[in-house]
Amino acid sequence: MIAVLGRECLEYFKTMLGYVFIATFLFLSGIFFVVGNIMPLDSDFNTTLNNCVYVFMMTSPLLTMRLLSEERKTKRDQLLLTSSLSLVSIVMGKFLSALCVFAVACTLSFVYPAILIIFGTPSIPLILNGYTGFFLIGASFIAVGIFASALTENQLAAAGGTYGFLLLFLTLDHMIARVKIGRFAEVLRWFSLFRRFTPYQFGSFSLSSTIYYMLFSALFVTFSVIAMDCRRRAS
Amino acid sequence: MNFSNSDATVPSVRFEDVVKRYGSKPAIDGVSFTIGKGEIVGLLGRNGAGKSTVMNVMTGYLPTDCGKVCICGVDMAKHPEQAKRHIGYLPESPPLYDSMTVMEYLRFAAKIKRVPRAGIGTEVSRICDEVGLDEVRHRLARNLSKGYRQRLGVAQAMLGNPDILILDEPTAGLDPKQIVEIRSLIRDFGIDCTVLISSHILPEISEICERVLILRAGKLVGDGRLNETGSYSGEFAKLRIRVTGGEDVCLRILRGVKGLSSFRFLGTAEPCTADWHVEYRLRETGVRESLFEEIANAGEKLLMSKPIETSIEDMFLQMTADGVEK
Repeated sequence: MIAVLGRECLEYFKTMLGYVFIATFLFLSGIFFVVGNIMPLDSDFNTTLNNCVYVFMMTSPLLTMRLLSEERKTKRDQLLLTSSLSLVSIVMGKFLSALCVFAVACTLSFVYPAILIIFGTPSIPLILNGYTGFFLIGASFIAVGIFASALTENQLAAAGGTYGFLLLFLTLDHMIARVKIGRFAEVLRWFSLFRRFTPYQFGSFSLSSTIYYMLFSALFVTFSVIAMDCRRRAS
Repeated sequence: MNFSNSDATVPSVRFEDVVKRYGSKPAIDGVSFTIGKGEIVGLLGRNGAGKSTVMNVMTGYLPTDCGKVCICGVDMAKHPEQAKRHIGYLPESPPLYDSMTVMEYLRFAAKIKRVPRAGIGTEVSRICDEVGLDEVRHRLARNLSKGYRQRLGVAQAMLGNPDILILDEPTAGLDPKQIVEIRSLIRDFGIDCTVLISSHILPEISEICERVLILRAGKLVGDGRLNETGSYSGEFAKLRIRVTGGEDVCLRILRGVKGLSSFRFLGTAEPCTADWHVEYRLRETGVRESLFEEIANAGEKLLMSKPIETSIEDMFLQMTADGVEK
Protein backbone atom coordinates (compact mmCIF):
# COMPACT_ATOMS: atom_id res chain seq x y z
CA MET A 1 0.00 0.00 0.00
CA ILE A 2 2.82 2.40 0.88
CA ALA A 3 4.47 1.76 -2.49
CA VAL A 4 1.25 2.65 -4.33
CA LEU A 5 0.74 5.70 -2.08
CA GLY A 6 4.29 6.92 -2.80
CA ARG A 7 3.97 6.36 -6.52
CA GLU A 8 0.65 8.16 -6.79
CA CYS A 9 1.90 11.14 -4.74
CA LEU A 10 4.91 11.32 -7.06
CA GLU A 11 2.59 11.19 -10.08
CA TYR A 12 0.54 14.16 -8.82
CA PHE A 13 3.62 16.34 -8.59
CA LYS A 14 5.48 14.97 -11.63
CA THR A 15 2.50 15.81 -13.82
CA MET A 16 0.76 19.18 -13.55
CA LEU A 17 -2.32 17.68 -11.93
CA GLY A 18 -1.28 18.23 -8.30
CA TYR A 19 -0.20 21.81 -8.97
CA VAL A 20 -3.33 22.59 -11.00
CA PHE A 21 -5.56 21.24 -8.23
CA ILE A 22 -3.76 23.12 -5.45
CA ALA A 23 -3.64 26.37 -7.45
CA THR A 24 -7.33 26.16 -8.38
CA PHE A 25 -8.35 25.31 -4.84
CA LEU A 26 -6.28 28.13 -3.30
CA PHE A 27 -7.43 30.65 -5.89
CA LEU A 28 -11.14 29.90 -5.45
CA SER A 29 -10.95 29.64 -1.65
CA GLY A 30 -8.90 32.89 -1.72
CA ILE A 31 -11.79 34.63 -3.48
CA PHE A 32 -14.16 33.46 -0.73
CA PHE A 33 -11.62 34.60 1.89
CA VAL A 34 -11.37 38.08 0.37
CA VAL A 35 -15.12 38.42 -0.10
CA GLY A 36 -16.06 36.84 3.26
CA ASN A 37 -13.29 38.04 5.59
CA ILE A 38 -11.12 40.81 4.15
CA MET A 39 -13.77 43.06 2.58
CA PRO A 40 -16.28 43.02 5.48
CA LEU A 41 -13.39 42.87 8.03
CA ASP A 42 -14.93 39.72 9.53
CA SER A 43 -12.74 37.28 11.50
CA ASP A 44 -15.20 34.31 11.20
CA PHE A 45 -13.15 31.99 9.01
CA ASN A 46 -15.46 28.99 9.39
CA THR A 47 -18.05 30.51 7.07
CA THR A 48 -15.29 30.73 4.47
CA LEU A 49 -14.45 27.07 5.19
CA ASN A 50 -18.09 26.20 4.57
CA ASN A 51 -17.76 27.81 1.14
CA CYS A 52 -14.49 25.89 0.63
CA VAL A 53 -16.53 22.67 0.93
CA TYR A 54 -18.26 23.65 -2.33
CA VAL A 55 -14.92 24.68 -3.84
CA PHE A 56 -13.54 21.23 -3.06
CA MET A 57 -16.72 19.61 -4.34
CA MET A 58 -16.00 21.25 -7.71
CA THR A 59 -12.25 20.53 -7.74
CA SER A 60 -12.08 17.04 -6.13
CA PRO A 61 -12.60 15.17 -9.45
CA LEU A 62 -9.25 16.62 -10.57
CA LEU A 63 -7.69 14.49 -7.86
CA THR A 64 -9.68 11.31 -8.29
CA MET A 65 -10.80 10.97 -11.92
CA ARG A 66 -7.69 9.19 -13.21
CA LEU A 67 -6.79 7.11 -10.17
CA LEU A 68 -8.37 3.80 -11.19
CA SER A 69 -9.87 4.54 -14.61
CA GLU A 70 -6.55 5.36 -16.27
CA GLU A 71 -4.88 2.23 -14.88
CA ARG A 72 -7.49 0.09 -16.54
CA LYS A 73 -7.54 1.99 -19.81
CA THR A 74 -3.76 1.80 -20.25
CA LYS A 75 -3.70 -1.82 -18.92
CA ARG A 76 -1.15 -0.82 -16.31
CA ASP A 77 -3.44 -2.49 -13.81
CA GLN A 78 -1.81 -5.70 -15.08
CA LEU A 79 1.29 -4.74 -13.12
CA LEU A 80 -0.64 -4.08 -9.91
CA LEU A 81 -3.12 -6.94 -10.15
CA THR A 82 -0.46 -9.54 -10.91
CA SER A 83 1.74 -8.41 -8.02
CA SER A 84 1.21 -9.75 -4.54
CA LEU A 85 -0.71 -6.62 -3.52
CA SER A 86 -4.33 -7.10 -2.52
CA LEU A 87 -7.08 -5.06 -4.19
CA VAL A 88 -7.71 -3.35 -0.85
CA SER A 89 -4.05 -2.23 -0.62
CA ILE A 90 -4.15 -0.87 -4.18
CA VAL A 91 -7.36 1.12 -3.66
CA MET A 92 -6.33 2.31 -0.19
CA GLY A 93 -2.94 3.44 -1.52
CA LYS A 94 -4.64 5.50 -4.20
CA PHE A 95 -7.25 6.90 -1.81
CA LEU A 96 -4.57 7.96 0.68
CA SER A 97 -2.48 9.59 -2.05
CA ALA A 98 -5.40 11.84 -3.03
CA LEU A 99 -5.97 12.54 0.65
CA CYS A 100 -2.29 13.55 1.02
CA VAL A 101 -2.57 16.07 -1.83
CA PHE A 102 -5.78 17.39 -0.28
CA ALA A 103 -3.94 17.70 3.06
CA VAL A 104 -1.20 19.70 1.30
CA ALA A 105 -3.86 22.05 -0.13
CA CYS A 106 -5.47 22.39 3.33
CA THR A 107 -2.09 23.15 4.90
CA LEU A 108 -1.32 25.81 2.29
CA SER A 109 -4.75 27.35 2.82
CA PHE A 110 -3.72 28.02 6.45
CA VAL A 111 -2.24 31.20 5.02
CA TYR A 112 -5.75 32.73 5.10
CA PRO A 113 -6.45 32.20 8.83
CA ALA A 114 -2.81 33.17 9.46
CA ILE A 115 -3.57 36.59 7.95
CA LEU A 116 -6.60 36.85 10.27
CA ILE A 117 -4.45 35.88 13.27
CA ILE A 118 -1.83 38.53 12.39
CA PHE A 119 -4.33 41.36 11.92
CA GLY A 120 -7.18 40.28 14.22
CA THR A 121 -8.22 38.00 17.07
CA PRO A 122 -9.98 34.94 15.63
CA SER A 123 -10.46 31.82 17.78
CA ILE A 124 -7.71 29.39 16.77
CA PRO A 125 -9.40 26.27 18.27
CA LEU A 126 -12.56 27.18 16.35
CA ILE A 127 -10.60 27.35 13.10
CA LEU A 128 -8.82 24.06 13.81
CA ASN A 129 -12.16 22.43 14.57
CA GLY A 130 -13.49 23.78 11.27
CA TYR A 131 -10.48 22.37 9.44
CA THR A 132 -11.06 18.94 11.07
CA GLY A 133 -14.59 18.88 9.68
CA PHE A 134 -13.40 20.17 6.32
CA PHE A 135 -10.76 17.45 6.06
CA LEU A 136 -13.29 14.75 6.97
CA ILE A 137 -15.90 15.89 4.44
CA GLY A 138 -13.09 16.22 1.87
CA ALA A 139 -12.07 12.59 2.54
CA SER A 140 -15.69 11.58 1.85
CA PHE A 141 -15.67 13.44 -1.49
CA ILE A 142 -12.42 11.71 -2.43
CA ALA A 143 -13.93 8.30 -1.55
CA VAL A 144 -16.92 9.06 -3.80
CA GLY A 145 -14.51 10.18 -6.56
CA ILE A 146 -12.43 7.02 -6.38
CA PHE A 147 -15.62 4.93 -6.55
CA ALA A 148 -16.66 6.78 -9.73
CA SER A 149 -13.16 6.18 -11.10
CA ALA A 150 -13.50 2.44 -10.41
CA LEU A 151 -16.69 2.29 -12.47
CA THR A 152 -15.29 3.46 -15.80
CA GLU A 153 -12.19 3.52 -18.01
CA ASN A 154 -12.94 7.08 -19.10
CA GLN A 155 -11.51 9.89 -16.95
CA LEU A 156 -14.14 12.40 -18.04
CA ALA A 157 -16.92 9.97 -17.24
CA ALA A 158 -15.30 9.42 -13.82
CA ALA A 159 -15.24 13.19 -13.20
CA GLY A 160 -18.85 13.50 -14.37
CA GLY A 161 -19.83 10.57 -12.16
CA THR A 162 -18.22 12.21 -9.13
CA TYR A 163 -20.15 15.44 -9.75
CA GLY A 164 -23.30 13.39 -10.22
CA PHE A 165 -22.93 11.54 -6.91
CA LEU A 166 -21.99 14.68 -4.97
CA LEU A 167 -24.84 16.70 -6.49
CA LEU A 168 -27.18 13.87 -5.55
CA PHE A 169 -26.07 14.17 -1.92
CA LEU A 170 -26.45 17.95 -2.12
CA THR A 171 -29.95 17.61 -3.58
CA LEU A 172 -30.78 15.20 -0.77
CA ASP A 173 -30.10 18.03 1.69
CA HIS A 174 -32.57 20.30 -0.07
CA MET A 175 -35.12 17.48 -0.16
CA ILE A 176 -34.76 16.98 3.57
CA ALA A 177 -35.72 20.60 4.16
CA ARG A 178 -38.96 20.05 2.24
CA VAL A 179 -39.91 16.60 3.53
CA LYS A 180 -42.53 17.02 6.23
CA ILE A 181 -42.82 13.39 7.33
CA GLY A 182 -41.09 13.63 10.72
CA ARG A 183 -39.49 10.19 11.11
CA PHE A 184 -38.44 9.90 7.44
CA ALA A 185 -36.91 13.40 7.49
CA GLU A 186 -35.00 12.44 10.64
CA VAL A 187 -33.53 9.37 8.93
CA LEU A 188 -32.59 11.39 5.82
CA ARG A 189 -31.04 14.08 8.01
CA TRP A 190 -28.88 11.44 9.65
CA PHE A 191 -27.57 10.41 6.24
CA SER A 192 -27.01 13.97 5.00
CA LEU A 193 -23.40 14.50 3.92
CA PHE A 194 -23.39 18.29 3.93
CA ARG A 195 -25.51 18.92 7.04
CA ARG A 196 -23.05 16.85 9.04
CA PHE A 197 -20.54 19.67 8.51
CA THR A 198 -22.71 22.26 10.32
CA PRO A 199 -21.46 21.48 13.87
CA TYR A 200 -17.85 22.05 12.78
CA GLN A 201 -18.82 25.32 11.15
CA PHE A 202 -20.34 26.61 14.37
CA GLY A 203 -17.48 25.53 16.57
CA SER A 204 -18.58 22.28 18.20
CA PHE A 205 -16.72 19.04 17.69
CA SER A 206 -19.21 16.35 16.70
CA LEU A 207 -18.14 12.78 17.42
CA SER A 208 -21.15 11.33 15.59
CA SER A 209 -20.30 13.39 12.46
CA THR A 210 -16.65 12.34 12.69
CA ILE A 211 -17.64 8.69 12.85
CA TYR A 212 -20.19 9.24 10.06
CA TYR A 213 -17.57 10.75 7.72
CA MET A 214 -15.07 8.00 8.49
CA LEU A 215 -17.68 5.30 7.87
CA PHE A 216 -18.86 7.08 4.71
CA SER A 217 -15.28 7.11 3.33
CA ALA A 218 -14.71 3.47 4.33
CA LEU A 219 -17.98 2.48 2.66
CA PHE A 220 -17.12 4.12 -0.66
CA VAL A 221 -13.57 2.75 -0.61
CA THR A 222 -15.11 -0.71 -0.07
CA PHE A 223 -17.53 -0.07 -2.96
CA SER A 224 -14.50 0.83 -5.11
CA VAL A 225 -12.78 -2.46 -4.23
CA ILE A 226 -15.97 -4.39 -5.04
CA ALA A 227 -16.43 -2.47 -8.31
CA MET A 228 -12.84 -3.24 -9.37
CA ASP A 229 -13.23 -6.90 -8.51
CA CYS A 230 -16.54 -7.12 -10.41
CA ARG A 231 -15.01 -5.45 -13.48
CA ARG A 232 -12.06 -7.82 -13.31
CA ARG A 233 -14.38 -10.83 -13.14
CA ALA A 234 -16.64 -9.52 -15.89
CA SER A 235 -13.81 -8.72 -18.31
CA MET B 1 0.41 -21.64 6.82
CA ASN B 2 3.59 -22.11 4.78
CA PHE B 3 3.15 -21.38 1.10
CA SER B 4 6.73 -21.69 -0.06
CA ASN B 5 7.27 -24.87 -1.95
CA SER B 6 10.78 -26.02 -2.68
CA ASP B 7 9.71 -29.59 -3.49
CA ALA B 8 11.03 -30.36 -6.99
CA THR B 9 8.17 -32.82 -7.60
CA VAL B 10 5.54 -30.08 -7.30
CA PRO B 11 4.93 -28.64 -10.78
CA SER B 12 5.53 -24.93 -11.19
CA VAL B 13 2.25 -24.51 -13.03
CA ARG B 14 -0.78 -26.78 -13.01
CA PHE B 15 -3.89 -26.04 -15.10
CA GLU B 16 -6.83 -28.35 -14.41
CA ASP B 17 -9.72 -28.14 -16.85
CA VAL B 18 -9.59 -24.35 -16.90
CA VAL B 19 -12.41 -22.48 -18.62
CA LYS B 20 -12.54 -18.72 -19.14
CA ARG B 21 -15.39 -17.10 -21.02
CA TYR B 22 -15.75 -13.59 -22.39
CA GLY B 23 -19.53 -13.23 -22.30
CA SER B 24 -20.84 -16.54 -23.61
CA LYS B 25 -17.79 -17.19 -25.82
CA PRO B 26 -15.13 -19.40 -24.24
CA ALA B 27 -11.67 -17.85 -24.64
CA ILE B 28 -10.09 -20.98 -23.16
CA ASP B 29 -12.06 -24.15 -22.90
CA GLY B 30 -11.09 -27.04 -20.65
CA VAL B 31 -7.34 -26.48 -20.85
CA SER B 32 -5.20 -28.81 -18.72
CA PHE B 33 -1.41 -29.06 -18.54
CA THR B 34 1.45 -29.01 -16.09
CA ILE B 35 4.81 -27.29 -16.38
CA GLY B 36 7.65 -28.71 -14.35
CA LYS B 37 10.30 -26.76 -12.52
CA GLY B 38 13.03 -25.42 -14.80
CA GLU B 39 11.17 -26.00 -18.07
CA ILE B 40 11.18 -23.38 -20.82
CA VAL B 41 7.85 -23.68 -22.56
CA GLY B 42 6.55 -21.89 -25.64
CA LEU B 43 2.87 -21.08 -25.99
CA LEU B 44 1.77 -21.05 -29.63
CA GLY B 45 -1.44 -20.35 -31.44
CA ARG B 46 -2.99 -18.09 -34.03
CA ASN B 47 -4.34 -14.66 -33.10
CA GLY B 48 -7.32 -15.09 -30.78
CA ALA B 49 -6.39 -18.68 -29.91
CA GLY B 50 -6.34 -17.82 -26.20
CA LYS B 51 -2.60 -17.40 -25.48
CA SER B 52 -2.89 -14.08 -23.66
CA THR B 53 -5.93 -15.34 -21.76
CA VAL B 54 -3.97 -18.39 -20.59
CA MET B 55 -1.23 -16.05 -19.37
CA ASN B 56 -3.67 -13.65 -17.72
CA VAL B 57 -5.39 -16.52 -15.92
CA MET B 58 -2.04 -17.99 -14.90
CA THR B 59 -0.92 -14.70 -13.38
CA GLY B 60 -4.22 -14.17 -11.54
CA TYR B 61 -5.08 -11.07 -13.57
CA LEU B 62 -8.26 -12.80 -14.73
CA PRO B 63 -10.22 -15.26 -12.59
CA THR B 64 -11.25 -18.62 -14.06
CA ASP B 65 -14.89 -19.55 -14.67
CA CYS B 66 -14.19 -23.24 -14.02
CA GLY B 67 -11.17 -25.33 -13.18
CA LYS B 68 -8.14 -24.83 -11.03
CA VAL B 69 -4.80 -23.05 -11.44
CA CYS B 70 -1.97 -23.91 -9.05
CA ILE B 71 1.31 -22.00 -8.99
CA CYS B 72 4.13 -23.87 -7.22
CA GLY B 73 1.45 -25.88 -5.42
CA VAL B 74 -0.53 -22.82 -4.29
CA ASP B 75 -4.13 -22.52 -5.47
CA MET B 76 -4.50 -19.16 -7.27
CA ALA B 77 -8.21 -18.88 -6.41
CA LYS B 78 -7.74 -19.55 -2.68
CA HIS B 79 -4.44 -17.80 -1.98
CA PRO B 80 -3.85 -15.34 -4.86
CA GLU B 81 -1.36 -13.12 -3.03
CA GLN B 82 0.86 -16.08 -2.12
CA ALA B 83 0.60 -17.62 -5.60
CA LYS B 84 1.48 -14.32 -7.31
CA ARG B 85 4.69 -14.01 -5.30
CA HIS B 86 6.15 -16.81 -7.47
CA ILE B 87 5.41 -15.00 -10.74
CA GLY B 88 7.13 -12.37 -12.87
CA TYR B 89 4.93 -11.24 -15.78
CA LEU B 90 5.53 -9.20 -18.90
CA PRO B 91 2.15 -8.54 -20.59
CA GLU B 92 1.75 -7.91 -24.31
CA SER B 93 2.28 -4.16 -23.84
CA PRO B 94 4.72 -3.35 -21.01
CA PRO B 95 2.81 -1.71 -18.11
CA LEU B 96 5.00 1.40 -17.73
CA TYR B 97 4.32 4.72 -16.03
CA ASP B 98 5.46 7.44 -18.42
CA SER B 99 6.16 10.01 -15.73
CA MET B 100 8.64 7.77 -13.88
CA THR B 101 12.31 7.29 -14.65
CA VAL B 102 13.64 3.78 -15.24
CA MET B 103 15.09 3.65 -11.72
CA GLU B 104 11.91 4.97 -10.07
CA TYR B 105 9.80 2.48 -11.98
CA LEU B 106 12.01 -0.50 -11.10
CA ARG B 107 12.14 0.56 -7.45
CA PHE B 108 8.35 0.77 -7.41
CA ALA B 109 8.03 -2.64 -9.10
CA ALA B 110 10.49 -4.12 -6.57
CA LYS B 111 8.42 -2.77 -3.68
CA ILE B 112 5.12 -4.18 -4.93
CA LYS B 113 6.85 -7.51 -5.56
CA ARG B 114 7.93 -7.43 -1.92
CA VAL B 115 11.67 -7.51 -2.61
CA PRO B 116 13.25 -6.93 0.85
CA ARG B 117 13.68 -3.17 1.36
CA ALA B 118 17.41 -3.47 2.13
CA GLY B 119 18.09 -5.33 -1.12
CA ILE B 120 16.07 -3.15 -3.52
CA GLY B 121 19.00 -0.93 -4.59
CA THR B 122 21.25 -3.90 -5.34
CA GLU B 123 18.51 -5.82 -7.12
CA VAL B 124 17.56 -2.85 -9.32
CA SER B 125 21.21 -2.21 -10.24
CA ARG B 126 21.72 -5.90 -11.05
CA ILE B 127 18.69 -6.09 -13.30
CA CYS B 128 19.57 -2.79 -15.06
CA ASP B 129 22.98 -4.21 -15.78
CA GLU B 130 21.67 -7.58 -17.00
CA VAL B 131 18.93 -6.20 -19.24
CA GLY B 132 21.08 -3.38 -20.59
CA LEU B 133 19.26 -0.40 -19.11
CA ASP B 134 22.30 1.23 -17.53
CA GLU B 135 22.61 4.09 -19.97
CA VAL B 136 18.93 5.09 -19.65
CA ARG B 137 18.41 4.54 -15.94
CA HIS B 138 17.62 8.22 -15.29
CA ARG B 139 15.49 8.73 -18.38
CA LEU B 140 11.69 9.10 -18.17
CA ALA B 141 9.78 6.08 -19.49
CA ARG B 142 7.90 8.34 -21.93
CA ASN B 143 11.21 9.22 -23.61
CA LEU B 144 12.36 5.62 -24.11
CA SER B 145 12.45 3.97 -27.52
CA LYS B 146 10.19 0.96 -28.11
CA GLY B 147 13.13 -1.39 -27.61
CA TYR B 148 14.07 0.12 -24.27
CA ARG B 149 10.42 0.10 -23.15
CA GLN B 150 10.29 -3.60 -23.92
CA ARG B 151 13.55 -4.17 -22.04
CA LEU B 152 12.18 -2.25 -19.07
CA GLY B 153 9.12 -4.52 -19.14
CA VAL B 154 11.36 -7.61 -19.18
CA ALA B 155 13.45 -6.15 -16.32
CA GLN B 156 10.30 -5.54 -14.28
CA ALA B 157 9.23 -9.16 -14.80
CA MET B 158 12.63 -10.54 -13.78
CA LEU B 159 12.91 -8.41 -10.63
CA GLY B 160 13.20 -10.39 -7.43
CA ASN B 161 14.11 -13.65 -9.22
CA PRO B 162 10.59 -15.10 -9.47
CA ASP B 163 10.17 -18.89 -9.71
CA ILE B 164 8.10 -18.53 -12.87
CA LEU B 165 8.67 -16.00 -15.63
CA ILE B 166 5.75 -15.41 -17.98
CA LEU B 167 6.55 -13.38 -21.10
CA ASP B 168 4.02 -12.33 -23.72
CA GLU B 169 5.92 -11.48 -26.93
CA PRO B 170 9.14 -10.55 -25.09
CA THR B 171 11.16 -9.54 -28.15
CA ALA B 172 8.50 -7.49 -29.93
CA GLY B 173 9.98 -4.21 -31.12
CA LEU B 174 13.61 -5.08 -30.36
CA ASP B 175 16.43 -4.77 -32.87
CA PRO B 176 18.33 -7.97 -33.87
CA LYS B 177 21.15 -7.37 -31.35
CA GLN B 178 18.69 -6.77 -28.53
CA ILE B 179 16.71 -9.88 -29.55
CA VAL B 180 19.84 -12.04 -29.25
CA GLU B 181 20.62 -10.51 -25.84
CA ILE B 182 17.11 -10.96 -24.46
CA ARG B 183 16.94 -14.56 -25.73
CA SER B 184 20.23 -15.30 -24.04
CA LEU B 185 18.95 -13.68 -20.85
CA ILE B 186 15.78 -15.79 -20.94
CA ARG B 187 17.82 -18.97 -21.47
CA ASP B 188 20.05 -18.09 -18.52
CA PHE B 189 16.99 -17.38 -16.41
CA GLY B 190 15.53 -20.75 -17.44
CA ILE B 191 18.45 -22.68 -15.95
CA ASP B 192 16.98 -22.32 -12.47
CA CYS B 193 13.45 -21.14 -13.12
CA THR B 194 10.40 -21.95 -15.16
CA VAL B 195 9.73 -19.81 -18.22
CA LEU B 196 6.58 -19.58 -20.34
CA ILE B 197 6.86 -17.56 -23.54
CA SER B 198 4.24 -16.61 -26.06
CA SER B 199 5.55 -15.54 -29.45
CA HIS B 200 4.60 -15.51 -33.09
CA ILE B 201 8.24 -15.86 -34.08
CA LEU B 202 8.53 -19.63 -34.42
CA PRO B 203 12.35 -19.76 -34.84
CA GLU B 204 12.55 -17.88 -31.55
CA ILE B 205 10.42 -20.51 -29.83
CA SER B 206 12.46 -23.36 -31.33
CA GLU B 207 15.68 -21.62 -30.25
CA ILE B 208 14.70 -20.93 -26.66
CA CYS B 209 12.09 -23.50 -25.69
CA GLU B 210 12.34 -27.21 -24.97
CA ARG B 211 8.58 -27.78 -25.04
CA VAL B 212 5.62 -26.20 -26.81
CA LEU B 213 1.92 -25.96 -25.99
CA ILE B 214 -0.32 -25.24 -28.95
CA LEU B 215 -3.71 -23.62 -28.61
CA ARG B 216 -6.45 -23.51 -31.18
CA ALA B 217 -9.74 -21.70 -30.53
CA GLY B 218 -9.20 -21.87 -26.78
CA LYS B 219 -8.37 -25.59 -26.69
CA LEU B 220 -5.01 -27.22 -26.17
CA VAL B 221 -4.36 -29.17 -29.38
CA GLY B 222 -0.67 -29.94 -28.98
CA ASP B 223 1.84 -30.54 -26.23
CA GLY B 224 5.23 -31.77 -27.37
CA ARG B 225 8.96 -31.48 -26.97
CA LEU B 226 11.45 -29.80 -29.25
CA ASN B 227 14.73 -31.59 -29.89
CA GLU B 228 18.17 -30.02 -30.30
CA THR B 229 17.49 -29.16 -33.92
CA GLY B 230 14.30 -27.39 -32.95
CA SER B 231 12.01 -29.95 -34.58
CA TYR B 232 8.85 -31.08 -32.89
CA SER B 233 8.19 -34.50 -31.46
CA GLY B 234 4.71 -34.89 -30.12
CA GLU B 235 3.33 -38.22 -28.93
CA PHE B 236 4.48 -40.12 -32.03
CA ALA B 237 7.83 -41.02 -33.57
CA LYS B 238 7.82 -41.16 -37.38
CA LEU B 239 10.13 -43.22 -39.62
CA ARG B 240 10.58 -43.63 -43.34
CA ILE B 241 11.69 -47.19 -44.06
CA ARG B 242 12.74 -49.00 -47.24
CA VAL B 243 12.23 -52.74 -47.33
CA THR B 244 13.03 -55.30 -50.00
CA GLY B 245 10.03 -57.10 -51.44
CA GLY B 246 6.80 -55.83 -52.86
CA GLU B 247 4.05 -53.74 -51.35
CA ASP B 248 1.92 -56.77 -50.38
CA VAL B 249 4.81 -58.54 -48.65
CA CYS B 250 5.67 -55.47 -46.65
CA LEU B 251 2.06 -54.91 -45.72
CA ARG B 252 1.91 -58.42 -44.21
CA ILE B 253 5.16 -57.78 -42.31
CA LEU B 254 4.05 -54.42 -40.90
CA ARG B 255 0.72 -55.89 -39.77
CA GLY B 256 2.71 -58.26 -37.59
CA VAL B 257 4.82 -55.59 -35.90
CA LYS B 258 3.71 -54.89 -32.32
CA GLY B 259 3.28 -51.29 -31.23
CA LEU B 260 2.96 -49.58 -34.62
CA SER B 261 0.25 -46.93 -34.54
CA SER B 262 -0.03 -46.44 -38.27
CA PHE B 263 1.77 -47.07 -41.54
CA ARG B 264 1.25 -46.08 -45.13
CA PHE B 265 2.86 -46.97 -48.46
CA LEU B 266 4.89 -44.14 -49.96
CA GLY B 267 6.00 -45.70 -53.23
CA THR B 268 8.93 -47.47 -54.83
CA ALA B 269 12.17 -45.52 -55.02
CA GLU B 270 14.39 -48.49 -56.04
CA PRO B 271 13.50 -51.63 -58.00
CA CYS B 272 12.06 -54.48 -55.86
CA THR B 273 11.72 -52.32 -52.75
CA ALA B 274 8.91 -50.49 -51.00
CA ASP B 275 9.09 -47.25 -49.02
CA TRP B 276 6.76 -46.93 -46.01
CA HIS B 277 5.93 -44.25 -43.51
CA VAL B 278 5.48 -45.79 -40.04
CA GLU B 279 4.46 -44.17 -36.74
CA TYR B 280 4.55 -45.42 -33.18
CA ARG B 281 3.99 -43.88 -29.79
CA LEU B 282 7.17 -42.59 -28.18
CA ARG B 283 6.28 -44.23 -24.89
CA GLU B 284 6.12 -47.69 -26.56
CA THR B 285 9.44 -49.48 -26.17
CA GLY B 286 10.96 -52.10 -28.47
CA VAL B 287 8.94 -51.12 -31.54
CA ARG B 288 12.00 -50.65 -33.75
CA GLU B 289 13.46 -53.99 -32.57
CA SER B 290 10.17 -55.72 -33.36
CA LEU B 291 10.07 -54.08 -36.79
CA PHE B 292 13.60 -55.23 -37.59
CA GLU B 293 12.90 -58.80 -36.38
CA GLU B 294 9.64 -59.15 -38.33
CA ILE B 295 11.37 -58.03 -41.53
CA ALA B 296 14.25 -60.45 -40.94
CA ASN B 297 11.89 -63.31 -40.04
CA ALA B 298 10.05 -62.77 -43.33
CA GLY B 299 13.36 -63.15 -45.19
CA GLU B 300 13.41 -59.54 -46.33
CA LYS B 301 15.96 -56.78 -45.65
CA LEU B 302 15.63 -53.34 -44.11
CA LEU B 303 17.59 -51.05 -46.46
CA MET B 304 16.81 -47.72 -44.82
CA SER B 305 15.29 -46.36 -41.62
CA LYS B 306 15.18 -42.58 -41.40
CA PRO B 307 13.50 -40.51 -38.72
CA ILE B 308 11.08 -37.95 -40.11
CA GLU B 309 11.37 -34.65 -38.24
CA THR B 310 8.52 -32.18 -38.17
CA SER B 311 9.67 -28.60 -38.22
CA ILE B 312 8.00 -26.28 -35.75
CA GLU B 313 6.48 -24.34 -38.66
CA ASP B 314 4.93 -27.48 -40.17
CA MET B 315 3.70 -28.61 -36.79
CA PHE B 316 2.19 -25.17 -36.11
CA LEU B 317 0.36 -25.15 -39.44
CA GLN B 318 -0.90 -28.71 -38.94
CA MET B 319 -2.07 -28.18 -35.39
CA THR B 320 -3.72 -24.84 -35.92
CA ALA B 321 -5.43 -25.72 -39.20
CA ASP B 322 -9.23 -25.60 -39.02
CA GLY B 323 -10.81 -28.89 -37.98
CA VAL B 324 -7.88 -30.17 -35.92
CA GLU B 325 -8.73 -31.56 -32.48
CA LYS B 326 -6.33 -33.06 -29.98
